[in-house]
Amino acid sequence: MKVQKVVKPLLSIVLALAVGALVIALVGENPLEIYKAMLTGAFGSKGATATTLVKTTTMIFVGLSYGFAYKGGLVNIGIEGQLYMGGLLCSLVAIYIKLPSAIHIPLCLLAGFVGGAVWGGIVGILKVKFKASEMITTVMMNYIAIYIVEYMVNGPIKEPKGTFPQSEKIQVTAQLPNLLPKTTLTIGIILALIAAVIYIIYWKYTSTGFEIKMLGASRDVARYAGIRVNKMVMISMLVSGGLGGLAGCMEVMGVQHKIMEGLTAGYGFDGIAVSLLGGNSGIGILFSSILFGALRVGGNAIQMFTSLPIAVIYILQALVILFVVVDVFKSERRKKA
Amino acid sequence: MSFIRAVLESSTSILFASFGVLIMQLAGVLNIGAEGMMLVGAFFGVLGSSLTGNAFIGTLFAIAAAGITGVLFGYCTVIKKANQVVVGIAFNILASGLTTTLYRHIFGMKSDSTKVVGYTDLGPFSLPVYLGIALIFVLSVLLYKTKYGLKIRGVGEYPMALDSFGLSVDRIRFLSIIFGSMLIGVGGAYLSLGQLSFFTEDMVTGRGYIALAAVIFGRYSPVGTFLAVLVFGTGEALVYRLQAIGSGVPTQMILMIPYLLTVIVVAFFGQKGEGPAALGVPFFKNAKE
Repeated sequence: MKVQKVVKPLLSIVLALAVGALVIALVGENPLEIYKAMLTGAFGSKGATATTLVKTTTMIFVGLSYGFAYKGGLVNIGIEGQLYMGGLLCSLVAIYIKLPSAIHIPLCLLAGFVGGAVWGGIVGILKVKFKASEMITTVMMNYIAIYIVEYMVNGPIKEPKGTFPQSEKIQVTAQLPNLLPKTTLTIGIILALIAAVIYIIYWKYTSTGFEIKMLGASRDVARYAGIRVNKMVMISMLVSGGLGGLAGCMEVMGVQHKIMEGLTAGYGFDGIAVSLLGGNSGIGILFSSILFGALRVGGNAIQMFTSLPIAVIYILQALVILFVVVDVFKSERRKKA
Repeated sequence: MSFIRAVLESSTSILFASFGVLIMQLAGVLNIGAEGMMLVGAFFGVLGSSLTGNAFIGTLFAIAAAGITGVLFGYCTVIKKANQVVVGIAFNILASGLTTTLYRHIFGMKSDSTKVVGYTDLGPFSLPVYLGIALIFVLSVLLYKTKYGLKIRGVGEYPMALDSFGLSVDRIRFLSIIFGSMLIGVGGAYLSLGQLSFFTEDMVTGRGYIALAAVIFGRYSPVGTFLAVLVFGTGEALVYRLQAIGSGVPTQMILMIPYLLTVIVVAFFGQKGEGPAALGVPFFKNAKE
């Protein structure tokens, strides 16, 4: 059983890379060269590895976000929007409030969490009150969030001097402190690890965690067992959204030091693959975050140095998901009666 | 008059996609991957049109490519019984990656190189607009007056019954998926060849999910779905109209309209839209239930 937990994801990665190689060959590039360029881009130097860990940080938060909702049987395709709204609220606090670092950083994180939680919470309310499918509303909320941020950085919070659609820089006191000199690595990675530990403890030991998991296993059973379904749906969406918002904080406070159009290049959707490959478990999400963080950084490298766009990594990502959920080697499984 | 025209044109793309989704949903297959299938249709429509200089041959490209996507979707969800939602999401990501990669490979980075021949108007509209409206009647008859329709709705509502009758649930679902995917592909092609004459990366921008909303809002019937699509088409047409007038409202707030509209519609009119009983549930022939 334990072996299966590790073998299956690894096999999925290998299969995805193999099929991905075919696609790369199809568009006239040498797959081995491309994969080598990605690997070098992601781990080729101390700086590159640090950058990979920075992206890993964001991946952990979006992975935990997807996993949190998924445990409760909810499909949160709206992490992208939650990330934007978290990033927006975080940057407002980070830009316009002056505080010592020890208070400023936690306050920014709180703001980011709240921003994402509100965005996820709206979806929760729509589901609980109106039975609106979260699969549709989350996607719509993504677009709404993107346009709100675009509006803000083109108008109300646009940097006073400058032509780009972006805010001014956040206060130095709100920037995540550097962890490794001369690299981009910040304490964000430690915050992400702490979040993952809390995630593990939550599912293992708390009663609401247990209730949400029961809800995820079967809505009907949960109802018969007297579980407060609506409350659990709300908690799932609020926390899932909040974690997405924290991913936005990592980008604002640790990477960009401002908010702008295109704050996230689709990281919200990466969370889906991160969580599914990691079997929605805290440990699994940590490991798959490294992979998808590396894919992001490696993808940037091939975009710069080869003729292929970064979109290639979406192909790999989708293939990983498919090989995780589709048992290509097994014939029809029977439901356990 | 020109506004009604804009509504119908904006609606056509979502209409084809919605009808494709409708057939799959009625057969019990939840297709979150409609967004990706539209994108595939949009890209291959442009590719076909640029290779042949004919928008209708382009549409055939779109139908073929979306059909193949449907075969893969059917393999994953019907043959392998994988989680339909997760497979759908993966297909959307895959479609985004594949079309962007192929687009850059084939057309290069120059944006003007992709201007292709779109549909020509016959009377006030181009052919797909009429076909979309004709489909309301064709599908109503197909789904409610023929044995094929009965089979499709049967595998969505109570697959065990059809199975015990000696029919293959998997086969009916698989064929419904392929047929539905092809329609969704046409919706994508209309987006790139009808509303525009070029392809841009990730150009579907949520219409696949709006199609899902339209099917729920339309109470899983062809006529209802059409009316629902008109509401969303009006939202999209309103965007163009408001942008053209220059109302002083920030652009981003205008661009938000279709998405806000969808959220509101799903919230206030979605709850009674009870779908087919077996929607999203894989069928295991030997399951004891």
